[in-house]
Amino acid sequence: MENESKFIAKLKNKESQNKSFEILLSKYKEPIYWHIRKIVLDHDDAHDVLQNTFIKVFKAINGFKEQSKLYTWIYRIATNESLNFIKSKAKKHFKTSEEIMIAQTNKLKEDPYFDGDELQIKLQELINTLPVKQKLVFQMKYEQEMKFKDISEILGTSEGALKASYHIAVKKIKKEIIKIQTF
Amino acid sequence: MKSKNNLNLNINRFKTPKGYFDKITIDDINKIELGDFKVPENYFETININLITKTNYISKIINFKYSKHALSGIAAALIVGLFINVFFTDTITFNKSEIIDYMSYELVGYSSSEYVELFEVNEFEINFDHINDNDFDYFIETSFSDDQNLNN
Repeated sequence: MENESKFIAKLKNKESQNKSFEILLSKYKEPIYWHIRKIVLDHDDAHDVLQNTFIKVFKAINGFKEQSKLYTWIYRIATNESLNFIKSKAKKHFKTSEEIMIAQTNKLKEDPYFDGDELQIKLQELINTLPVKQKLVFQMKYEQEMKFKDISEILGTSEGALKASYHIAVKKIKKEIIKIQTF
Repeated sequence: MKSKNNLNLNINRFKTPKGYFDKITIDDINKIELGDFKVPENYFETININLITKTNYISKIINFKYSKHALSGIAAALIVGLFINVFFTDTITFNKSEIIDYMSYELVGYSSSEYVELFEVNEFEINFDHINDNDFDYFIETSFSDDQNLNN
């Protein structure tokens, strides 16, 4: 992609906006989809959140102050939209977000868009029992191999705190996986 | 002699070796694949600007529809309120809860939950006591934009 500032200016310009937004979509739709999908797990939910995310990006681009990179800003919106989606779903079903995610993990066995054995489903279950910040940092670091610096910008948390959260998450998961593997 | 109370408790005495957290991995338990998440065939080809703008356009129509109902309800309530005020002021008195019950179930036809549905969930989720700078920035960045952009 060309110089980011120039590209953002084109996104803000009404005449070049649609074409630039198509370029933005083609570059980010897949990584953002997978980021959302790992949070919400279900494909249909991920599709809804993906649409909401890009609608918000489209609506809010004029207010983007370029204090962070464009891609971390989009990831930040996607993360917040995913978490808000889970919260709304939980409210609708009179459950907590954690209960919703555990139910969602249990559905993975029958999900036509998920291939995984018992251990992989168990791992998803473990990830979804982590507190939100630990879960997000684990997914972004372990699965998406993002840099702590970028995760820090997306989640608005210091790198030190993220590294500590990742360390705790890894320890918890490691402990449970060892338990499963020894039985 | 120095008292125990003179200890400066603000100093963090617990430290980790330099780069300690950077070295943490779970490779030693063999990196477990997280399962294969899939998407329907050609799914990403269907994600284009039309899908995004079209979705928003539909939601605008729905909002307009709800707004129309809400406005009709409010107008009806005002007319009946005026009627009650003019003709029954001296003869009948209602307490607050009776008026609310009447308007909710008989007159306007909207329950309180239906009114709540007229608004976005996010509008009710702002708790200024617990809001932090990041949440506030996110709310400002993504909630007050020019909708006209979508039509151009």
